[in-house]
Amino acid sequence: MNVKINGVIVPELNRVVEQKKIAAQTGKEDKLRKLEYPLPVGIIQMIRFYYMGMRG
Amino acid sequence: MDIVSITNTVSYGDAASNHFIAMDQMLKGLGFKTALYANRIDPKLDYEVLPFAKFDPKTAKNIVFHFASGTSFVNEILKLPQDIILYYQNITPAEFFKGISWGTYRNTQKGRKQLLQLRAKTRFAWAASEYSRLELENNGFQDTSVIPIVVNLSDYKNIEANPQIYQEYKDDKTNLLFVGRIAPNKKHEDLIRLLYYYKNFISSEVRLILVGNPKASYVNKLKKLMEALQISGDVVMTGKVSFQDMCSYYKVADAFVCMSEHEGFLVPLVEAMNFRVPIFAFDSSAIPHTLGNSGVLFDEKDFGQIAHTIDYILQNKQIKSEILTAQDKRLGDFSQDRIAELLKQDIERYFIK
Repeated sequence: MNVKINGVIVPELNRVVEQKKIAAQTGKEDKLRKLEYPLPVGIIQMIRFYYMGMRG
Repeated sequence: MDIVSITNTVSYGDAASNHFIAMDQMLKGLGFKTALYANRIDPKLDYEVLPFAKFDPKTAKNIVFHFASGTSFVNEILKLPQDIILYYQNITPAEFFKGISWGTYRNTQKGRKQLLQLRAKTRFAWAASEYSRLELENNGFQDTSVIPIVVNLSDYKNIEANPQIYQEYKDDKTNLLFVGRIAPNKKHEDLIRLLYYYKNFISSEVRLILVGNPKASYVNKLKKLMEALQISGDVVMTGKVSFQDMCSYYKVADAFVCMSEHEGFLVPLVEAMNFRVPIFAFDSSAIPHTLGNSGVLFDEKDFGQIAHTIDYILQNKQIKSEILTAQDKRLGDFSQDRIAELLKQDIERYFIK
């Protein structure tokens, strides 16, 4: 991902931020999963089954 | 009349209506005899804007039609005997409203078709941003130029913050602010996801303030997301607020954050510059054009990367100060003197004397 500050890409800042991100996320995979799938997994599975059923 | 400006609706406090009136004041300032007409007029503005039903086309040398949404009123414009100068703000693509608001979906679709109908009637077209101007050009409009939305910055001076808002929100928490209609193209759900990341991975001392008129079906979707992510208590949704209250929220903001995927200009970016709030935005539509070489732009929605960048910059005084200096410079491009100069150049070239 590119971040432009005042119209300019600053790779050094990107690197520093990337390291901070990795450090912050270590050991917190469950919280990240919630960001990607905010609904409980059971509900997501029910929705999937419902649509698969609709398609026959 | 030298220049008659016409639009479908004028509402009090709305950015498009403010621009409609402010542009007319600038034209008057340049020495032109002008008048404003609209199909639907907010009673608070009926002293400034006349009803379109009373408009006699024979009295107008030049007609400027301000166009920002699909409406049957366009048929009245197409029936006028003379050609027009179009002012195009942009129309949100219909896809954003699919399944959320079918009425708006149909209106926005209609608007894009009407834009093509207006082409043959248009002598010259202004666009609110380079993004909108390119859209006009791609749709076959011949002579086009950019006149930014007029934001009357003097209105923002000497506005005292509402003490209640100041007391409640000017605390140790980081206030992430977005101002704008709560509509699907503005992607408030991504601001909520960003807040979730910030709260869970960086600091719990953060809140998201969303100022803007809500669209009920979309707000329900946002509330469900907030509940699922367990951050309902960290989001303040103000609804439509007074001008003073809106300014107060800018005054307590630490960062202006925008994840919108479609804007024709986005006046709140200029307001954030005016209140010296650093801007962090997703790089889409007119946003990079309004920001120019200022603010922080992200070309992807990696919420982790965005949240850590915001946190890093807010803590780094030097980078933050460089961003604010660039925003101050960009704000100068939206001064009334600068826009009046642009108007003058186009009027000399394309208007009937």
